[in-house]
Amino acid sequence: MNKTISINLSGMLFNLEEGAFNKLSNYLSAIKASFKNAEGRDEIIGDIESRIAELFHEKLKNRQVVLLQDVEEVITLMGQPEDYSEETQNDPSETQSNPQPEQQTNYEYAGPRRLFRAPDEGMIGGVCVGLGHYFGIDPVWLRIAFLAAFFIAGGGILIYIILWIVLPKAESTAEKLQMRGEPVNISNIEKSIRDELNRIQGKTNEFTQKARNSGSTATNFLNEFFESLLRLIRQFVAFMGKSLGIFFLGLGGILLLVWLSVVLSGGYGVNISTNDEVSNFSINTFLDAFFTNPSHLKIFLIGLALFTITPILSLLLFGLRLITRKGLLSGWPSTVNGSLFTIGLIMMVVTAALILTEFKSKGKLIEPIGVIQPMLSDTLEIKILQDAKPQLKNQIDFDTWKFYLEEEEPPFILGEAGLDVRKSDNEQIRVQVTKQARGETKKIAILGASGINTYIKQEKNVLWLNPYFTLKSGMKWRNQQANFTLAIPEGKFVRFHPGTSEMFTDVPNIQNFEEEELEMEVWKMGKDALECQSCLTEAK
Amino acid sequence: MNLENTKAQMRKGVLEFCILSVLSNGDAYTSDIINKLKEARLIVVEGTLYPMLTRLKNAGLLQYRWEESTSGPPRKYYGLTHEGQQFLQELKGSWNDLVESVSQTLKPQVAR
Repeated sequence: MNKTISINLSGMLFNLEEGAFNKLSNYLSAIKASFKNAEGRDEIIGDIESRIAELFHEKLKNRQVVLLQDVEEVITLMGQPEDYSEETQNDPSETQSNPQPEQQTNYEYAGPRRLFRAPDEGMIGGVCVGLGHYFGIDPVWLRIAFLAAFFIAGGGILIYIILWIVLPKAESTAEKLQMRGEPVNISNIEKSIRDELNRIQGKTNEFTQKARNSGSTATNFLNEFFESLLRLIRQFVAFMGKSLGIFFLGLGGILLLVWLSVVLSGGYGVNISTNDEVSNFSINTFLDAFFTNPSHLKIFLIGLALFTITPILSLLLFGLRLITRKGLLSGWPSTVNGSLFTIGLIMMVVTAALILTEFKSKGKLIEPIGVIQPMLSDTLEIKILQDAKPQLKNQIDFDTWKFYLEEEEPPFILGEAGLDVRKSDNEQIRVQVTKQARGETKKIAILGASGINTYIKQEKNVLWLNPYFTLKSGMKWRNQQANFTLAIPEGKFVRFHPGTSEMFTDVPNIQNFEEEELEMEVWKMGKDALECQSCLTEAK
Repeated sequence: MNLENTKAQMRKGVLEFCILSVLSNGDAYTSDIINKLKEARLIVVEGTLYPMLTRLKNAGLLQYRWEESTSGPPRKYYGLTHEGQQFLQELKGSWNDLVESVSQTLKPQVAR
């Protein structure tokens, strides 16, 4: 849809498209300017306008609106303002009677010099001529420089081709004047056109003398060859750009769908991979294990969403840009996207930093557990409660700390409890649990440690241990640790049943057996450490 | 000496003569004149003609009348005045002289 403008041309009404109107209006004022002092100017303009009206009328057989193309065709037919003025200004009587037409049209603004290439002046693509005009150097020197660069480093040809592609062609007279840094006014345009006519004349002369001058045909051939090669390269680059753009759009689209499905499902479908294990639970549950403040969690999640969506959007934008080859997409959408990325990052970093402060202090709690002393002659049997084992796929293992997330309602956290065995300093078997946690202050850390639930059960001379501890509902992960310490009096026997060795943190024995090798053997507490009573072999 | 300027001067003198001779066959509308001149490859664009017609008219060699047109605005039909006809006759005479003398001056060059 385009705006139209109604005009009255020689008593006839026409509707012109906006672009067409501007063009025609400029054209007519240029003509008026070139006839500024001519005798009978109004009449000439009137005749021209009425001819244009007639031409429009012929063109508008099945249409109602005059298009830009129509105006351009009419201008081609009627001729440029220079064509009019040439005739009048060359009339000696008129130039005498109007001695200052040039001064009048000389509305000078010496425009800044612009970099173009001038293929019709140059040897190959007109790059050197364009550069020469721009820097005010004779193009011959630039040609020599390019040639030298080609022979010395081989880079000259590349630079030349890049410049050829990048530099716009000086096509209109105004562009050619800008290239030379001359002000764009009627007299300069006229001069430039005349120069061009002379040059064309020269070229055609050259052409007729081509038998004598084979160099010019070689240049022509080279010119044509390079032009077509260049066109091919351009098309190829455009094609590659578009293909790449489509690829990026497709990739971005798929990523966007994945992103949406993850966000809509509350973070499910993402596998958080730690060490070797691939754990399977939602991002939400994972983060919930750390965040005390639910609004902080929300801020972090929004930050994470922004942090992940913006690269996808960038990909889409980039793809679109490659396809449409429009610069407008590099403007505000990219800026907005970049800002959102930064905001997301800041939101994540700030909330994560707040969590880190809650790991600042360490708190320790030691709880003795009462044990009924079995008969001295009996062997103490250490067994594991097997049914307490959590689903191992929900393990989170970051080298120093390891815990399990049970994704039930509400989700709860499990940790691995440890077991030390050492000599009791009296005649009694003693058991104690050391609970540790971190917190913003020592007090909070101790409070966190008190939220650790361990389980130990005694049946006569059997000691059942739960190798996992749980956290009180609602408690967050603050690197909680629980460790059973079993103190055995000297001369007392003990047997470790399968699974117990996994709990061992510190079980000294004089034979220096590996932890797994301690299982199912009968041990006697010696002076300092355990001594194997049933072992057939020495430690490997 | 500007070659282009000389050519333009040359063409202009001839053009005026040609316009007058086109009109000697009867009154004509601007675009008829243009078409004839274009055929003869004397002009390229129409714009060139308008200032000339006005100048010839102001010099009293041409006159015009308005005629309604079925397609577009009313048209100007140009015709020769009595003065214009005399002017044309004189030009024709001098044109023949000119062609003769010019071809004479060109002869040695052609022979070479």
